[in-house]
Amino acid sequence: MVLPRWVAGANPKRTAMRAAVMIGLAFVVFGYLLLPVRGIGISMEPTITQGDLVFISRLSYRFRDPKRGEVVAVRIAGNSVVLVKRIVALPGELVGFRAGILHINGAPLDEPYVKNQSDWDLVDGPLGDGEYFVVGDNRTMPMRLHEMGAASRQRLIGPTLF
Amino acid sequence: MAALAGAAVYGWRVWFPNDEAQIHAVLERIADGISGDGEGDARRLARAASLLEEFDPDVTVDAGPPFDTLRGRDVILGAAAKMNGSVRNLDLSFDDVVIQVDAVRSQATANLTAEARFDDGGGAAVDARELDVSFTRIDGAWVVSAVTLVRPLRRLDQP
Repeated sequence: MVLPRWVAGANPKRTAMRAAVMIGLAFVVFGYLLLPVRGIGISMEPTITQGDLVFISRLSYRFRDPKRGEVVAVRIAGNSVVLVKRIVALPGELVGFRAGILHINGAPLDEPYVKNQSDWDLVDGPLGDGEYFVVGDNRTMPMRLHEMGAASRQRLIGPTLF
Repeated sequence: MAALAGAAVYGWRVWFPNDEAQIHAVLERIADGISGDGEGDARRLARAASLLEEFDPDVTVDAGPPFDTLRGRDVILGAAAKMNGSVRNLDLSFDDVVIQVDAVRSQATANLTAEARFDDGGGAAVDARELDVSFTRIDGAWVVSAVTLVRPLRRLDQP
């Protein structure tokens, strides 16, 4: 079968080679380096809105520890179902909410990314070794309806890139 | 000769499946039994009844707070049939299954992802959860003895 010129190009062999390289590259990039995530839900608004596409670095946490303030993907089930949340507290810290203000080790944390302040109250609780506290930026819903909590280091896939 | 050997190995696996294969088969039958397209009550109950032998009579399902632990296969299958009736085109599958069988081959655990695709009235929806499923062998057959929802985030305001 002869493919039309606009498909096969001037040199079909070279076009096929390029296509193979592109497919291989996509396999490596999206299989091992980046995880594309489509935003569903409102818990990270306004940072990430419904339908936004974000890319997660799969490699970052192989070389360094997660940092406070990073927006990260948390593995929920299998390898592709994730929650995207923000790390607000690190292993060993005490974390709680007082009238909607996040407190770390008893001191309020400045959170410029939170546009809609909540009225949440959560008694200070300790994080264990290797536990990171993650929460969404949108805190307009009742606390019990918001997916947040301590995630183990193993469940953190990586930070968002863009 | 190689083809003959391959056929022999294949036949052996089909007629004498190992523990992991048997457990995979149990999970497939459960997924097929719970999946459905919003059929009538009688059909739903018949499908639920067909799953009875896949569960230990004292099976428990623990979804964590705020839900109570469900106990007994009749209660659990009734709940599954009810769920099937409340959504349309339910398609349940178990993926990423990792099975560990104990040394005496009487108990086993499977860590897996349960993925449900369904029509909730407002359009297609997907829900996926990680589960730990315990199996026990009764009269030579593997049956589900406990299902525990794995909570990826530990709530500080709940036990």
